[in-house]
Amino acid sequence: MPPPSGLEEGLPSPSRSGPPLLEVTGLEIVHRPKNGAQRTILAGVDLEVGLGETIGIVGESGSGKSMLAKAVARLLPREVHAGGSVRFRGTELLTMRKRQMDALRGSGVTILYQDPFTMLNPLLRCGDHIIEGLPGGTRRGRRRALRDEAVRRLAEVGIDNPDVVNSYPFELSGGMRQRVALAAALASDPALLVADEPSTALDVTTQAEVLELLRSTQVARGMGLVLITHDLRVAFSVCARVYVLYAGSVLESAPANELDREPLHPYSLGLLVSDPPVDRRVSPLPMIEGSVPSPGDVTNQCNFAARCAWAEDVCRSAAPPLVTVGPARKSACVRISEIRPALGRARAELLQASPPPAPVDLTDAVLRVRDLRKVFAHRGGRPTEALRGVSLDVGRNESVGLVGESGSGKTTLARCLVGLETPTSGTIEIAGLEVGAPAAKLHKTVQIVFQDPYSSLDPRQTVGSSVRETLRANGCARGRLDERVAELFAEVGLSSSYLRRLPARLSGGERQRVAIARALAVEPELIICDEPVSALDVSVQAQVLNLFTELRERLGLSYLFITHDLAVVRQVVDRIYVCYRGEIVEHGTVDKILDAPEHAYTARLIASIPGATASSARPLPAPMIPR
Amino acid sequence: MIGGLALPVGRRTSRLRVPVTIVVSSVFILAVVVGAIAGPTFIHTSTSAPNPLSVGTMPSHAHLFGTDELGRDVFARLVAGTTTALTGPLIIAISGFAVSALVGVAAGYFGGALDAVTMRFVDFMFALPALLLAIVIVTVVQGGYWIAVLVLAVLNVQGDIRLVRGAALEQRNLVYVEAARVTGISRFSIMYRHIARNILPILLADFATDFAGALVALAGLAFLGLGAEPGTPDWGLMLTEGQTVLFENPFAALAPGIAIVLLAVSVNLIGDWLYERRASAIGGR
Repeated sequence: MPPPSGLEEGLPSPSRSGPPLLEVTGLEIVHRPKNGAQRTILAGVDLEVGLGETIGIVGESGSGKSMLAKAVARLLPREVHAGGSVRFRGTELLTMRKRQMDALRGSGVTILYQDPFTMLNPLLRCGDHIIEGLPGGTRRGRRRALRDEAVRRLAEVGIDNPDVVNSYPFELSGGMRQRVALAAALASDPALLVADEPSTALDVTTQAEVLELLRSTQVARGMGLVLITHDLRVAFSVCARVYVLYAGSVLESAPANELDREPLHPYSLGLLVSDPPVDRRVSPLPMIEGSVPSPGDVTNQCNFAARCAWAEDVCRSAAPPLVTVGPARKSACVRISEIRPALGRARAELLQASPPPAPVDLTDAVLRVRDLRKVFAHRGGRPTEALRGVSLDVGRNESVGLVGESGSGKTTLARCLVGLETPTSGTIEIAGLEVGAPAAKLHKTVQIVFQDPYSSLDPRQTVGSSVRETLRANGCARGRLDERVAELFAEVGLSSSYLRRLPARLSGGERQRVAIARALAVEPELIICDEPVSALDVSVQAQVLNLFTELRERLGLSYLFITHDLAVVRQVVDRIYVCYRGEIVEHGTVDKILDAPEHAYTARLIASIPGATASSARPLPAPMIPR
Repeated sequence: MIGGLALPVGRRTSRLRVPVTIVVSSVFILAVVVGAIAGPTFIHTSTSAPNPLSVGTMPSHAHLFGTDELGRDVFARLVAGTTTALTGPLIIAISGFAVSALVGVAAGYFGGALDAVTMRFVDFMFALPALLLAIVIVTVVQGGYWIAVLVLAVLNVQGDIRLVRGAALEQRNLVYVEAARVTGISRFSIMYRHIARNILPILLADFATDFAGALVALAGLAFLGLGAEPGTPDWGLMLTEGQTVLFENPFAALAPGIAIVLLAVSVNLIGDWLYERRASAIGGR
């Protein structure tokens, strides 16, 4: 590993007497569109990053965390303005001259973004991304020397193959791209790295590797790291201190282990408990009702009051300040001293394990898949085998999980089951009906809920009309349409005031409810859930998972639950199939698979969950089938 | 969506603010439409009777834009010309809209052989030099205005089909289309209720471009003496005929020329504005 050349001149002596690396005080971010109403994104945020410190900023979508990152690097979009103060090593950034700021970006502050697929320039080789960022002095070296430096920089982020400098981003997997992006971000030896959801777009196992890499580089370089994430567990696994951001304000800040042990704000507690535990089944899952408000709608009151079980008049009368409640701990809850014991009790109660599900009789299976194969032919290339002889069963009123990472073939299986793909060979039997039978009959027994509720609804159709259309296409009598639509909306917990809204006016969780209502309109026996909660915020995720459980009990549905998230699987599933490279490598009851996995791949999946005890699982080839 | 900036989706779009250019354009188009419909009822000056006593006079109280080479009132002829200025381009734009919506969406949705055949046909059409061909056909058939409209209507569809097909192809791969397929909604509904509605902004903008293009093309043909019969009050024709009195009364040629430009620009501006509004109404997704 090269000695990061920025370290010697860049960092002042390690004595902690000087100003902190980054000091944000009263940061306000406002969106002022040219035509349209002004909107507050951040309402006065204070935070501090010490030299060589790692802090986490945790918040759901709409909390303003990404804008906070952009404000620090002065990269806010047009029409978005920042006020307050952002001081980097004591120098004010918000009022700095543009040229100075350009120089500081890179050598001082760098951002690592979420999506490794769009972050790199597709026309530049990986080496060039790094060379471009090397500090001014070294940049004027000979071609050969620069290349060697790029190879060294790649080695620092764990890429030992020197040929990668010559490859284009599209030739690499997501995890590799994220590593290259990290190497490029670190090329100019920044003193502060702001990583905005660096692991969210990646597979579980890759996610764990990237987080580990971030942690080790941060330590090795002694740089400041701000990790922005929606996932408390990710923050706990990397950061020393965590700020909890909600609707544009910090609600709590605390050392990571302290926050994990005892959250001192009802929202932090809610976030912690609604993130489903991996080690036990909790039924029903604790959840936070409602969704994140817009900061402008909650002025002069506690941002969280509307969703808080402990809220009283005092919470709604004024915006509570962030006050010190313990050593290095701050909370914005005005009632914290009164409710502190109650919070602790609530946490224990909410996370009580429920008994394991009763086994289901498989002789009367709703879904029977036998030796299913799917080969994708490529023009002029070798065909890809996406499914290599998959067999599985789903019993009546049973919920079965199909677990695997991207490329494992699980989505191909789902698409075969609902008739969007034709399998190459093998049989699928749904409720006694052989698939391949007329599609009209098929979709009456099996339905699918897609991953992304933002794209699975027609953006120009009101959600009521969407469900209505489905009902009509499936032979619902004209006179009963309105009644049925209202029934279905009630079934998924939406009031009839939603009927006339367009999808864009619904939150992610609400849209997923509509998608579920639409699937139910067909009155299917089996619903295939393809990562139905992975695009949702943690607090909303629990709501939707509870809805699935409830509907299963009430309507006698069966589920095939496709996901990469083992914690989610634990909560809603009776049995698990583990899919790896187009094959089922292991199956059994949830408790058996998650507590005593037999296959090495399953063990590695479990070990990759942030916060899980790291195991020394031996490395396996990527779950993608090589072409 | 986690981590992204959630733009305000919960609130009703703030009250629409219409840019000045759009107001001006709309007023102008409205005036043209009123002229086409009600022109004959309030303008009693003859548009065809020559008046040798006042040839090429400058604008005056009696003749708002003066008179042309035969002494006819330019303003009256300008108003009478609104009919041909609107009908031909409208027919051409509507046929382009209809054909591309039907064929383009189907080609994009079904793909395969239908798409291949359609696109090869479109390629063939693109290979034809449209305006030249129009000139030849109109000359050979000795046809007037309506033949010109027909020829341009046919030679205009290929661009529309290609555009709409591309947009439909993009929609087809979106999850909501798959979701509709899985819930058993018919192909027809998916194509013409879901996809067509989602690409409507493109269709509208395309309609405006077609209209403006057709207006200019028809005027060009008329200018060359093809299209509208000599003597009829047609803007393109007036442009040619007015040239003879360019120094006596420049308005005889300028007024129809400016009218063509204003109408074409107005329609384009409105088409553009509609596109941007509708496209942003769903949050840019």
